[in-house]
Amino acid sequence: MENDATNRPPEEAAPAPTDPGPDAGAGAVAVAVDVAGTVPPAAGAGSGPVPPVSGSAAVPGQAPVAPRQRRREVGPLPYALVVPSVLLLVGLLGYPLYVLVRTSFQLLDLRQLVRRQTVWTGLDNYATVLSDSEFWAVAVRTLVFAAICVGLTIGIGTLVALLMRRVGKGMRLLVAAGLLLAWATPPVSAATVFRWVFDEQYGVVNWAVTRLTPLDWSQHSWFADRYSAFAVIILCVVWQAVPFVALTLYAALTTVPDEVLEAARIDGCGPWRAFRHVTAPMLKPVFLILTSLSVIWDLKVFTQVYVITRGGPDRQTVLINLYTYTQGFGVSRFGVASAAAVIMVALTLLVTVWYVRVMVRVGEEDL
Amino acid sequence: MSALRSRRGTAAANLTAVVVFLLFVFPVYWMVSTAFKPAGDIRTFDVSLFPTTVTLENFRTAIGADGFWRFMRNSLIVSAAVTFLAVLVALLAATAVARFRFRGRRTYLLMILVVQMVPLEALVIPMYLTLRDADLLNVLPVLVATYMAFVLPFTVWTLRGFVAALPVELEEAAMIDGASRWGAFWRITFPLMGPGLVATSVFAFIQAWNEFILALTLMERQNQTLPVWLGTFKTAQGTDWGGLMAGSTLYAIPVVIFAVLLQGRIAGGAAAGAVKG
Amino acid sequence: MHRRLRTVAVAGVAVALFAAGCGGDDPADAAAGGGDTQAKDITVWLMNGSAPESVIEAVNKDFAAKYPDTKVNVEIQQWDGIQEKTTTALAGNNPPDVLEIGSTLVSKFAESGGLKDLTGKKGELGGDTWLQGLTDAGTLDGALYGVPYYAGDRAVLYRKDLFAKAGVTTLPTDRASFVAAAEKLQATHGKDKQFSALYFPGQYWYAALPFVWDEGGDVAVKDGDSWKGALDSPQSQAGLGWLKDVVTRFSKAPVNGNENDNDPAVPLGEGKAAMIIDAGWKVGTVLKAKPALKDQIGVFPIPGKTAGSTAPVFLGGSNLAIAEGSDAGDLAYEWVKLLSGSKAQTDLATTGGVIPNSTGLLDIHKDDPILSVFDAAAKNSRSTPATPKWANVESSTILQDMLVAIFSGSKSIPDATRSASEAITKTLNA
Repeated sequence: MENDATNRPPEEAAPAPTDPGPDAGAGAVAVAVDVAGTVPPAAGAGSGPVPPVSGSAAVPGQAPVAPRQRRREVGPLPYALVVPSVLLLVGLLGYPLYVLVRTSFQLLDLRQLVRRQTVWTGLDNYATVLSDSEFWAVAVRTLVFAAICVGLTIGIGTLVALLMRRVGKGMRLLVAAGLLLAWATPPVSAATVFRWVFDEQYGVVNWAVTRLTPLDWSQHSWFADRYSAFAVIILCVVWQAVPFVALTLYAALTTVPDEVLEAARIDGCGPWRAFRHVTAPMLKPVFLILTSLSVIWDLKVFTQVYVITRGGPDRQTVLINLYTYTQGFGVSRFGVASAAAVIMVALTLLVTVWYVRVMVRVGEEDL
Repeated sequence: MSALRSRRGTAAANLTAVVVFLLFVFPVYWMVSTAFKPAGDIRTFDVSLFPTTVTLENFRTAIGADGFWRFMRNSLIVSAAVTFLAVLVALLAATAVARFRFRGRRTYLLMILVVQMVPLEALVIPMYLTLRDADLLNVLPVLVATYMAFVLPFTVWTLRGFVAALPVELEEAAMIDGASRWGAFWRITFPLMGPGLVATSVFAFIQAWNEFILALTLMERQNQTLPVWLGTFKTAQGTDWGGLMAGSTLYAIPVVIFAVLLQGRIAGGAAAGAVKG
Repeated sequence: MHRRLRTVAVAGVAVALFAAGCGGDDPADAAAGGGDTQAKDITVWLMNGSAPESVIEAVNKDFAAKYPDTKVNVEIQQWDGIQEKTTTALAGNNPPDVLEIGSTLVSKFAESGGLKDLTGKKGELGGDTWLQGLTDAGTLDGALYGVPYYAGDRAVLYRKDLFAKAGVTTLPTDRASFVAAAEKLQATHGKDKQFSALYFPGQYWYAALPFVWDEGGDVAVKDGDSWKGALDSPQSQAGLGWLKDVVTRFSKAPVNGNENDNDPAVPLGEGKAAMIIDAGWKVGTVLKAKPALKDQIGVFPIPGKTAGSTAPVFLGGSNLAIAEGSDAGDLAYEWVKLLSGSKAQTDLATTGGVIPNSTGLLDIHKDDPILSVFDAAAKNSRSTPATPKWANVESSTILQDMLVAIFSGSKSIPDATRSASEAITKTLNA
């Protein structure tokens, strides 16, 4: 990653392992000086607070300024290159999204769906969703759930990546193989297996606890209590999310030069401080991307809840996507479901914006 | 002294690695080992960690169940087509956003990020309504098109990092030597993108491979895919756990093969993709 | 490095070629298969496991003899996601001509306008001998939309050997003797901590309702034009209270489990349960895993409160419907007529072991000590409230949540039944 020194001004070519310092914040405005130089300075500054996008990832200490020596005319080429994807997305996703928003203003129960009736109801569906106390409970629950999943995924992923860096090749391959198998397992099958492994009577966990410890868990129910039910769901989600994070972080770690860590060690840094002050800042862009992707994914979790608890006990593990789904195919109120989905996307957007802003304030990220 | 501590540290790290491996592998092991157990040994009160009797009966049931090969064929066609098209289109877009700064680039990337927030489950009815009006339900290429809607954004997002990570200088040098921009890209940059393309392909493939609800609702039996087929093992008479686990194993095999073959590249590529932009 | 790159390139090309190659012929092939709904063909959707293949083949043979130019495509649908599938199919441009629909879902789809009104054909189909429960389920506002296909109900399956060992010599004939038998069984076999005299997964609402009905309670009652949840009535609470006591004392099944994940047939087969409440074909499930139990499984009806009575049972099953959008409605009707007619029904009851759709055939299993009990029980059977909104109560898992709350003790019976009743009232009148 950091080897692309040519992409940054010469004086910043060396990796900057420590805090980049005050001028790091210049990133937002610095867009002005661009690869092609086609964006006038005002445009960059005028975009105001840095747009809420994660993404990329400029190297810490490197203003995302393209070197002046690489100016070249842009012309129509980049537009020609993005046009196919834009057309596809507008057609394949944009239109259904428009239909989604449109149906959120319609009464669309099974009867209207089958008889192809269009009944406009204004904001009724939104009123229904927003006045449903369950919706708010579900929304808050989903945020907490996603926060826990993201935290655990990134945390465990980092530890596994560090472990892979620490051990020899054989062990590294072993861990990588385990990660790959977990990753490649179909989510439905994975959730079914987790439900089973934690089953009260046929589950290997209760069996092992009863056998190996003095506790008798032969009748212990994991799914009767919402916290332990959530624990199983979270475990399943994290289990499948860690491989991507760990493998990505491991690859990123291999680019942290050993000399830098060695220097830190000689300076008396313990492993934790070395990670905290040397490695982590260098990997911040990777963390930013992985975290924002994880946030997006974990706010959408559906399969695991559907298979493992179906929202039980007493609907206490219903997450927002299952709520939306139940409103739709469950009780055939597709208009209400659409409104709930629109609200959910808005919430996701808010969370991501908030997250990226915080990150941008701390660092200096740019698209 | 220090060497001793280091050796102890290595031993501890190796031990941890084994534990991590076992934790990640156990659910997969449980799925596969169950697939080899005879019906009476599967959901029992007396849990056995290893199959005492090994049988291929469940695999026979699974492969014999309701047109397994047809579903497999549909799944392979759809996932391969989605992967190919998504990566192709994303490659163009990724090159544009990684190599050029142009007006609208930021908006474009923002759009790519935002559309990933839309839950697929919420789009089922809108997609259904759209296709119904166009009379395009139950057409396999249409399933490919709907999958593109959620695979493409992620593919662009990932691939753009890979492209950006490649040094542009080689390309420029080739151009100075008289190559056309296209020639330079094709001969210099494209070959270097192998790992990135492969990693992105795996991401795209897995997403398409695992999709269930669109295949169920937009397609009829002859055009449905393996995730729908897995439901074969849940009948009015109860769940055939052995068949389900054998089916899941068969279903996971192509992805595992695909992923394991390309293992090293996934990791390297993903990092590059994430780091650079 | 170079070799690696080449491998990658080869892999990429292979994927591309594969995509192109397969994409070239197969989608066209598949599209052709999907598109050609000639008026001469009919498509039939049956549920996975509902009828033995031989029964359907026989029906198709009879049909082909009458209509040699019509091809019948029978497609077996999976239970997973069937509501989604039926919804989109009925709203689609090419719905299947004939659909099997679970009895409690018929009125929902009928109300949407997706099913053909078959009221005029009722006499011709032999509607006056149909089982009342299935006929009611297939009827909405006096009009017939779902032709009764087959029925299923539940009784108590028990282990004869475990009963004998516990000294239970006479079968329970009322709830008091049922409890007495359970006490003996638990005392004899309870050394095994996983043993249940009655294995009852907490969400198993089909098996809970008989006790509610037996006390005179109900799920919901019609009050003029609206419905009112009735699980909080004193009668319903009494039935649930009795059941809670039994489940707490005699069942080691997961309190939050359901009858699919925690199939009662498993503990019965393994000797971890002496009694379960389940359908007749579960005997086959037990024997498949434990063939040695061949003569050890017996059955008796779910006991009622008063001596000698039995509790009303939940009559489940399926109906056959014709899609309103079918372009071959007459042919579809002829096919439905064959499958619901006495020849196919006799066949179905004999080979499939289900309860046939007609009271005229109810003595078909009279020599079968197991199935005859189920047939007899069907005569005193009930169903869920006959309203299109009922399906929403099922998909909102209101009954399951209530039962789990009661059995786990997380809510008192009055609290749990009150909130369930409120939810049911709200859902049925939405």
